[in-house]
Amino acid sequence: MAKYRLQFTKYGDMKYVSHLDLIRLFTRIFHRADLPLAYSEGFNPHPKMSVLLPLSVGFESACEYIDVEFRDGVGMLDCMKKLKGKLPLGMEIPQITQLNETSKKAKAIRYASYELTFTNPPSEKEIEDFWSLAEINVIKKTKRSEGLADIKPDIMDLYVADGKVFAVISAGSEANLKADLLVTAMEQYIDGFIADDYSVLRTGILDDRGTPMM
Amino acid sequence: MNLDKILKVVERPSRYIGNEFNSVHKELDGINIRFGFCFADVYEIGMSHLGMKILYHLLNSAEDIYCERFFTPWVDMEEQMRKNDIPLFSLETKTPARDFDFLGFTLQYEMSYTNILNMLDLGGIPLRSEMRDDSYPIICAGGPCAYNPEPLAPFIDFFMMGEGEEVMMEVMDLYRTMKSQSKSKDEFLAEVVKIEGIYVPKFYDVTYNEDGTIKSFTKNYDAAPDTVKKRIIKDFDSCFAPDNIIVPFMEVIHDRIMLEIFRGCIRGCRFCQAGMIYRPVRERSPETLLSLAERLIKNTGYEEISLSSLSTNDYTRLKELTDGLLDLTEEQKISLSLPSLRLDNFSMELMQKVQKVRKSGLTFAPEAGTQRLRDVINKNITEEDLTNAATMAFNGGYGTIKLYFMIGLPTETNEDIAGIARLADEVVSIYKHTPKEIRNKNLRVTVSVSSFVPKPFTPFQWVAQNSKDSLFTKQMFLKEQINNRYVSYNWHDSSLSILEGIVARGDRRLADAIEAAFKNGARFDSWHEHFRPDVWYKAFEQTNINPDFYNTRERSYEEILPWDFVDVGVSKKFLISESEKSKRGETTKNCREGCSGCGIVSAFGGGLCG
Repeated sequence: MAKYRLQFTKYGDMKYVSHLDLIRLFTRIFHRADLPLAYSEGFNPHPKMSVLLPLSVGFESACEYIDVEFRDGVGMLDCMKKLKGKLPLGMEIPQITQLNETSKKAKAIRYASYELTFTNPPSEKEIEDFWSLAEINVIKKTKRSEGLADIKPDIMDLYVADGKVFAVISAGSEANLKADLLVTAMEQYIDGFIADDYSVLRTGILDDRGTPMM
Repeated sequence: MNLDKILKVVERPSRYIGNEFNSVHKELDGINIRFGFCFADVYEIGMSHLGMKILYHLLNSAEDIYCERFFTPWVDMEEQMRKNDIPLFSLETKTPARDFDFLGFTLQYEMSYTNILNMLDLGGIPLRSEMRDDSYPIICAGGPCAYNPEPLAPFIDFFMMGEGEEVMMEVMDLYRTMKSQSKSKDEFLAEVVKIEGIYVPKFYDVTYNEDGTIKSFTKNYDAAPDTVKKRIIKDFDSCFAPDNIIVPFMEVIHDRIMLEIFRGCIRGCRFCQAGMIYRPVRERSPETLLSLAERLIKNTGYEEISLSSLSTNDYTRLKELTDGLLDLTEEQKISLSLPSLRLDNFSMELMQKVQKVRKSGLTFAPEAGTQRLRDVINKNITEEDLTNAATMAFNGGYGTIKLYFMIGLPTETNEDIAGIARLADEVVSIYKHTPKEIRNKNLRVTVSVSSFVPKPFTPFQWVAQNSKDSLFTKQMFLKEQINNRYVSYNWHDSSLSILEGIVARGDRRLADAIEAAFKNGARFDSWHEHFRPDVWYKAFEQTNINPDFYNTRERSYEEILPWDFVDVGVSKKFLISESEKSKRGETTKNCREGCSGCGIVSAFGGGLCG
């Protein structure tokens, strides 16, 4: 029995592969790579895997994590070697680490960082002004309700560089801000700014101290 | 083509992205022929189809051919594409359909025909062959419905009859040569028609009698064949089978490895088109299949493998194969599923091994409620077979039984329909006689009834289809007959079956109605939520077509049928003799009990009918 955390990317068309499809995709990747997945007991055994933080369909990511358990010990290098050539276009696995007692759990996730690309990006000043507002109220929809919410406390960092907007915002089980809601808020508060055709790239998933999950 | 904008707003965008594992991506530099393989339904249906997987990888095995896939965009995607002026594009390279050398449609069911027209239209391609000059792709079609190509004759440049594995590459070879000589489309069609199995509709003229039946069907080009004979793979064991099939991201209908164990069927059920057109029976050896399965598992990572054929039990070396597969799958934690399994001692034992825990449903298809009617349709199952099977199932702990029937079969009476309810009652009483300690705690018997559709190249190709009213009366009559709290009854509005009946036995004139229906908005007709019969009936009116002529009319043996020029190997003489035997309630032996002389052996030479 060996547990690993894999960092993976979702570039290009991979952004359209949903969270639900991702588990099936990984099951097949590990089968192809001849890595022995561990299964749960019971009537309907399923592979022991979990994606740390779901990503919205349509967002790219340089940094996603999946935890997986194998039946037999597989060396990390061996694991990397076996996965070579078994991944679909747009998916890479840059890092693998073995999990132990001290490894960070999914519930330690606090923030995620994003890079937002716009056809007509807002200026540095516009972003500064936006972020210095006392309250940033937007309509937030949850599964059960819809209401006005102040997302200002969920924005940890926000700046413009090289014509792109960089943001660090709340993520995880305690507080969660979706990147597209941030964009909606920007459209609402920045005069004349229209997001129209924009793309989102997640660049990191971080704990309360702002360090990556592996 | 920038699709991001629309892919962000449509449902299930992974239908359209096309970089699935094992999808083929080639440098366009060395490509001579670009072939668009088209399946006129949504991605998850098309990607479940084995034929497409075979031909996709076969075509791509040639270095200078690039075969890409096209499916029908779902309605939300169509809306976005039309709004944003995005033409129908291939999945792999997102190339517009117009830029291909060929678009090849596989015709799996008649109710996809309006989707074909929609795909051409979305591609900016004129629907009718005569409206397309050499700047447009050549439109071709094949698959089981191509055996009556006539309703699509004006839209398709040429049809391929029979199994595509061989004829496809011959057509490509010819095209490659003629393209290098800069020949025109017309010149190509004049040559391609000389390849056995190819039908070019424009080389034939049809005249009609006053009563609307066909007076003559004659060729207007000497080199065109008088009859178009289907092509088959003679050596099925060694024929091409892909071992690196595409693994979709989204869950498709048949999301598993399909191992095609044999083609054809020995049974000869008289209502079944597949049982006739896929003859002769040809098997793959367990050695070939096991090696193929092993490679497929390795190359795809699929977690499930299924056997594919018209009737699993008729595979002569089933035990050998399943023993081998069980070893393979157990070792690799892969599940094995066995569809179309007839219940006997062997298969019961097999099922116990295969599904170790789950005791889900079992399915039987008696098709008709009385022995008399089962004899008429040559479904050689007796009531005893069914009761034995049910006893075995209940003893084995199964609690859910599904029974499949058809109504509207030739010679059917109320007694036959009442017989359906009686069979269901019988199954319930077998459950009650099964000892409580071994039987499942819950019993559920489902009776599913579909409406019979007469099809070309079956012994029932001459019979009248029941009218919608008559089918409804029968459906209601059966509803009254079923009074058992363990039995649930499933039936559907028969409009779709009626329309399928009209199109299945249609002629060239029907093309106008199909086109009108498409223009009236018909799409995804085989999807209940999109099927609109009113749109079709309006189309019949607009084009002066009496739909009853095609389905509720009984034909004589002398009548020239629209598909008579196609030779599927099974002779018309045999179909007539089967039709006569059905009227007398006589059955015909299956091919292994004795040859009934269907004509396939003389058509394709000896050594077949494994």
